[in-house]
Amino acid sequence: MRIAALEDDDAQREAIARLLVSGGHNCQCFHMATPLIAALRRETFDLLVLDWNLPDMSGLDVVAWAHKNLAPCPPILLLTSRSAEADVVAGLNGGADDYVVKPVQSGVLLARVNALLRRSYPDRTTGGVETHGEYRFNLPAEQVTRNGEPVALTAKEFGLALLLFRNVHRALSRGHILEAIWGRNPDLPTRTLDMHISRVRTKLELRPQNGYRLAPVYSYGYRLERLTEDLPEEAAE
Amino acid sequence: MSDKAAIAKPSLWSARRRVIAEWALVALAVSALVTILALSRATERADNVIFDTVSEWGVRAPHDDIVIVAIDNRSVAELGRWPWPRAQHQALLEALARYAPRAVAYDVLLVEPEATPGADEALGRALAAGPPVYLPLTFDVPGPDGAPFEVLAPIPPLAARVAGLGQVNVAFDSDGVIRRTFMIERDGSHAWPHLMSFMQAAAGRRPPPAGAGAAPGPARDLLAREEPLLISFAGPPGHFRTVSFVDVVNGATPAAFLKDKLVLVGATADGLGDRYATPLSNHTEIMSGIELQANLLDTLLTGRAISPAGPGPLLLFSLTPLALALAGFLLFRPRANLLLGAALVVATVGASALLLLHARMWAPPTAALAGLLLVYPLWSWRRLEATSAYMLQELRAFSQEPDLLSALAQRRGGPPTDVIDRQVALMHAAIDRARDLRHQVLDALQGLPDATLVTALDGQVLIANREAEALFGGAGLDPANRPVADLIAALAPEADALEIAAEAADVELAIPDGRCFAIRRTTLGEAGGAVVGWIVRFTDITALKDAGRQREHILELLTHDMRSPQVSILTLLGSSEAQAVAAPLSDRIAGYARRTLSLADNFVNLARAEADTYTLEVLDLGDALLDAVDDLWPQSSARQITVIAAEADGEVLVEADRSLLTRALINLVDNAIKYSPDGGRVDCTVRIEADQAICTITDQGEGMTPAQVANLFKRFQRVRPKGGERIDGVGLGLSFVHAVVQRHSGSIDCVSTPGQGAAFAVRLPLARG
Repeated sequence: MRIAALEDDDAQREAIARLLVSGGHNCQCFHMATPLIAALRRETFDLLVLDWNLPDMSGLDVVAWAHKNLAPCPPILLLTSRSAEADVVAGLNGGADDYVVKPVQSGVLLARVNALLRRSYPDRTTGGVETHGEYRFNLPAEQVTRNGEPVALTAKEFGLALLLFRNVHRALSRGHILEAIWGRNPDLPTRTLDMHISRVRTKLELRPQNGYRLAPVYSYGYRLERLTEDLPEEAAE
Repeated sequence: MSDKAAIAKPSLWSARRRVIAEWALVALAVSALVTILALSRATERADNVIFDTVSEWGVRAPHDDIVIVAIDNRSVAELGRWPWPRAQHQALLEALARYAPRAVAYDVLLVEPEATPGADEALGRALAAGPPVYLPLTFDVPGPDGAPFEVLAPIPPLAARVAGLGQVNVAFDSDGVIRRTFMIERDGSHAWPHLMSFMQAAAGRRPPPAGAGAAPGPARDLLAREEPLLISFAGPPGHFRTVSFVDVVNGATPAAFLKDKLVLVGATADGLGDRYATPLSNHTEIMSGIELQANLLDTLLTGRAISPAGPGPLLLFSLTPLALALAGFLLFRPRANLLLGAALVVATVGASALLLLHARMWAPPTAALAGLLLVYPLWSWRRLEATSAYMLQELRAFSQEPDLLSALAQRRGGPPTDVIDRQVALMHAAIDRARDLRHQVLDALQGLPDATLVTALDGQVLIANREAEALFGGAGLDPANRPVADLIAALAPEADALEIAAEAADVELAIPDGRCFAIRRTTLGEAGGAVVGWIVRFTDITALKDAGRQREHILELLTHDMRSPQVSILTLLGSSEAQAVAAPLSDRIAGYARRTLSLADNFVNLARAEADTYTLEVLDLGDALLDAVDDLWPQSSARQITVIAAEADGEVLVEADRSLLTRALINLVDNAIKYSPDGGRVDCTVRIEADQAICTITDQGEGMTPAQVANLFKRFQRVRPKGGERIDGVGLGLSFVHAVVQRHSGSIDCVSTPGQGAAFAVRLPLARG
């Protein structure tokens, strides 16, 4: 896939480029927003990886510009040193499709990039059964098996689990989840979604020990992450 | 609080109730009095004066058909001394017969036989020969031999010959004046109509009265009087056409004078016959009996008989003005009531006169007038009494109300002496307090450091303090008597002044010279709670804003500018070129970079925990704990530490900021992991205990001394593990936890024994509902 990366720090830009190339993508790097925008006017990219803080423009401005001027707008992944929750939510609400807080863990970045590409350019061959790792989703029967063992889920829990797995590594807003599972304008108690998330996490044991983490994105929604093998290693000191 | 409850504040309603009660009492008392006065005729004398006065307005020309044949001084002089012999009467009757009058009432009592033989019989013949002649009878009360009365009738030779015998009893009022008469006198067996009833019948104005020719002599029963009527006097004595007895006898009277007339014969000469005081006789002249009869006949013929009002109508008449006056007390102001009272007095008398003159009914007005005259002072007194009691109560309550600035209040004056003095003293104190309060409030307002305006409900400025005058004076405006919106517009021409002026909540207003104001509007209420205006405060928050911006800058610096180089260092160390650096060195560089990053993060988090407004939502504390444990999986799994989050029985709901609370739990679990030995175990539980949500995190690390525990939550306090630099992070972590838990109205404690690990417990209030 053709990816444009915007990062003003040389070391980080090179690291990103190296990582994306290693993931089998074609990466074009920009150190400033203006040349990127100029390139976007001429060329088409499948995905944009944008730093937030840049010398000439903010990454959010680029996101806004892209949404206004590009049709279709490619998915956008925001890289940011801003760890504050309010900043993350502002980025997502501003039009970015996902974000990664620096320092970037290479596995995480690649997983998020692939999730976005998969989402935007689906290559789905659904034969009524979807397999996500050790979990098998039988769509017509609305049944889940884990390592061949059936797990009892209600219809809503099944839908929610499937939605999370299909969007693994992707932040899903509460509004998005509610609309996908409960339909438009659902009149639900505010705790409904949290309770279903909690049950899905418990029943399917989506815990780090099992290679999954169902993480809250504060004031925004949830994201299911599949933990890659290198993560514990990186976290270790 | 109990103080306040003890001072029962008299409500306006209770005061009104008291007034109504007083009113009802006054109404009841005066109505009863009027009723008694009206029914007992206690005010008859006063009523008579009014009756007499009104009667004078009723003077009229006498009826044409009535002529009096008077036994006057001239007749006595010419015909000889009274009593006259029967022959004299016989001569008159014979003379009268020639004149052919319609009827004759011969008002001379002929109750004893005359000595001259045959004279009575001759008179009897004369009586029967001419026009119908009616003779009077009267009653002697008491009668002889213990009889209640005796009928004095003409002697039988006369009585047998006349057309009718009628009684001529008169009824004196208590002042000795004749105003009324009874048309029928009766005992158990007989009824005697009035003499004038016969004359009225003779004139064809009524059927002949029954019961004529009653037996004379002593009677058994008491005499009863019926059909009372009040005589409408046509005029004073001498009002009726009169001819002299002697002229009729001599035929000197013109024929037309007596033809077809109703002739009344009676004595008018001095010393002869009966004489009475009448309403029209002015108490100076008295009226002869025959003239009285003439007035009665005139009354009957012209249909002017006045009937006294019965008890029902009389009460209605007497009580109506009183009722109107009482209604007026409740509806009108005192001045209007005074006018109403005067009008009612005039109207009552007027109505009485009108009834008398035109409706032929006598309704004595004095009882009503007495009621009116009494009710005014009585009501004024009771009303004043009630008002005074209310004022006294209010003033007492006011004097007992806690003084706003009681320490400043100085009370003057000696002890009060009497009731009025006490009231005056109370009033004086109340006014003094109000004055003091006004001064103190104004001084307090002037002393405020913020520009403050007091406005009416429509935003018009009533009071502006010095700061406000300075603020708006700078913009060239005198704030007094202007709408707040104008002032704001002058201060910040670009702001939407109207919207800001109408906004109830706090508004920030930046003005062109760089200053920034927080505008706060609070209501100005009465004691009753009604909103009567606004207090608008302009607080200069420029410095605060600057400080806020400064803080934002520092946080920005920490979040981005300090983090960025560390991120680059880590990126470089991970790159292929970094293979040149020896692995232990590279690891230590990365470690320092991470410490710096974590320092920056902790700083930012602590600033958020202590400053930001929290977004509260209801969440399951168990979920938050699971999130925290999952978040730390990389750290715990790297050191083979098992973190066990025991499942709670159901949800443990708390109202919390999800991000901050989870971050706090992360810090606690992170600490537990850091202080645990490799391969150790951290136990986390969530449960409800004593209406509190409790989350405990227990490690099996080295533990702490009591002194260390005591200092745990102080900022930058750091528990140093013995022998080792392995544990990183700064004491900021626990300070953050402490701040977050406190902001959620919770508490945190720690139990630890050196060598046996530590247990942290976070207690939060359960979510309501």
